Amino acid sequence: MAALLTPVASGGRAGAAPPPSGRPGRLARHWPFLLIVPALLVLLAVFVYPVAQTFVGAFTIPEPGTENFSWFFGSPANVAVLTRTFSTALWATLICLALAYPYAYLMTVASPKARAALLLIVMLPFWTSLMVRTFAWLVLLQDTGVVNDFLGLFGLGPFGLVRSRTGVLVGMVQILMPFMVLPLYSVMSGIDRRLLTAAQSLGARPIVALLRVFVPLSLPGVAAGSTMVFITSLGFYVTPALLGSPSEALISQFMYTQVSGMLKWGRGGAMAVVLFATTLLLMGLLGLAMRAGRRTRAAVR
Amino acid sequence: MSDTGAPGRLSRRTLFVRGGQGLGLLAASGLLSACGGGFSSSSNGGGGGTTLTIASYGGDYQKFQAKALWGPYAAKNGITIKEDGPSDNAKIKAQAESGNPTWDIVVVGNDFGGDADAKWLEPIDYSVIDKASIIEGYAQTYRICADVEGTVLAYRSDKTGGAAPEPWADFFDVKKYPGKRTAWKSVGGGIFEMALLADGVAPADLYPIDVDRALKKLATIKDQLIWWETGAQAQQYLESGEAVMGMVWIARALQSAANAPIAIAWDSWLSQEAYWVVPKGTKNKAEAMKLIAHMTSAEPTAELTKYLPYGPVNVGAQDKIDPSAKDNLPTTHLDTQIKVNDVWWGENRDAVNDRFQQWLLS
Repeated sequence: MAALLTPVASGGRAGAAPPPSGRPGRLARHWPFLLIVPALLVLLAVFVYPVAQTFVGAFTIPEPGTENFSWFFGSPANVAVLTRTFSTALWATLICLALAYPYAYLMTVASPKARAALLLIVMLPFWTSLMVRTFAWLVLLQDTGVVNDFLGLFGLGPFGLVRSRTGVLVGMVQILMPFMVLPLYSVMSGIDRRLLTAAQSLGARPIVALLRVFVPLSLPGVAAGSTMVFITSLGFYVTPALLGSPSEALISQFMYTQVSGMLKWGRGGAMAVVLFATTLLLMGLLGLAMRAGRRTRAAVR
Repeated sequence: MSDTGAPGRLSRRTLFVRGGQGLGLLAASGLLSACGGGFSSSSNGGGGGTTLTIASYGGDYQKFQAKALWGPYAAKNGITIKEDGPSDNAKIKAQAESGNPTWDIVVVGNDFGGDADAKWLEPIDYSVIDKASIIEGYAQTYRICADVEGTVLAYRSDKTGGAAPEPWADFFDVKKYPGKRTAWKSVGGGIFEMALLADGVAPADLYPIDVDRALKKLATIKDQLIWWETGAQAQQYLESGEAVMGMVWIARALQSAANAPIAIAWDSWLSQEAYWVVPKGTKNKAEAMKLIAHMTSAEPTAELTKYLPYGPVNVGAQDKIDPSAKDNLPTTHLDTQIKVNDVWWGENRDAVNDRFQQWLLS
């Protein structure tokens, strides 16, 4: 557990080697970079190459051209899948944030023992197989499931908890919680709490000190966690396939249908390109907005 | 073209989760069991002769096929059988296109192996295989039936008050039998035929499928339909009582019947088969044909019915079946079989599937 409790940097700082002393030779100065070669090779082979091939396929299968894209944008149902994917990801992110923020805050103020317990609670489901968890939700949420049976005792329901967006979000949020809690905790635990005391000594009420000092300082954690959750949400397949309904399908399910069911490699590729481009665009805009926000804040100071 | 786009459902998810970890946020947590992608194992490594690679559906099905069909043959003839799977139409195409397929014999469903797929397949060699011994219609140019399966209406007898729903009209009658229905989310899996039969179309007039009419009929119970994509899902929906009835594969229905009060209405069922195909360009064509000849002969096909409730295709196997198993074999109920027209589907699947997928999304 001890290793888990160590806050892990959310950037790439951990990997940087300290500058060597003296004037070593070129090789000696650069050899640490050799350490990433195996990882790079693996990534090239199993990630970059297939992704590139998929993207090329989008424009070349079955014939060179943009036929796959006109197919995708030609049907309102397809575009609806894309929008639904992004809106579901956004909801999942917002719900995760709302749940994880106070949770992570509690972790920073709790005693070490309580903190370990809190961390365990958030990590436990994470250590369970995705399929097991998703099926567990199915058992709980289905019409004849535990939740609806219990509500039935009071003459309520049954509610359509599965095969609906509710089911998908419940499943997704549970799976994604660690991705939000951990970056938030890692940033929050690095915030100097004396700043809050200082703010209060200058006359701020505790809640104001929290909102105007603590929250802004925790924003990098919010950004890191939200990005992780949002992007991961976009690729969800198993959860929406089991807890959602076809009329609520997300883009990864639709890609699966097109490629595996219908052997439309090009269409699958086109959807991948569209998803990738839209994600990059959104992330780019978000990045710009955040940079602009930082500049504004800096200017105000 | 390789299988880079092939969707490893679980593995891709798991990888993604791992990718997330790699960002350093979750560095300390070693988690998630290794994911199961394909499986492959060698069996019967006898003799230094030919090695044949067979790709089937995996699971119990493949295990029993090995036991009844190719295991004894390999031992007797000194060939090595390498098992792979699960079978995948996209992979067959990719392998054939590469010119050097790794699979020599593959089991496929109804949706592959018709004349429309000729460019990826070797023709079945009927100078080696006795065509006359196979039930009529099951020995085709590019594929030969491995076993006769079926999609039946299975229902919860405890929830229908003991009454037997009539396939397929009662499947759509939610007033008579309230509750969810589970159906196979596969365009050519019988859902269109089922809807049209329920709508009053005579079996002889099913083809060409009236897609609009079928979708319209399906729309009447769309909110009561739970789609399954794997046999296990179908079983789960029925056994948990989430669905009161379903269109399910016969073997799954029988397995479920052992665990829950589930009965089968044999009055109208949709044909479904498994077929042997040989990918084009295999180096072991002659040996593959010989093995297929063995696997479709009377004794092995009858042997398979000891383990699986699938009908044997060999005429000579019919009287070798254990009488107690016979009631549940699709080949015993051929009089009420609705024959799914693979030729029509071969020509129209893509177009109809496009419509079906869009309908599902709407």
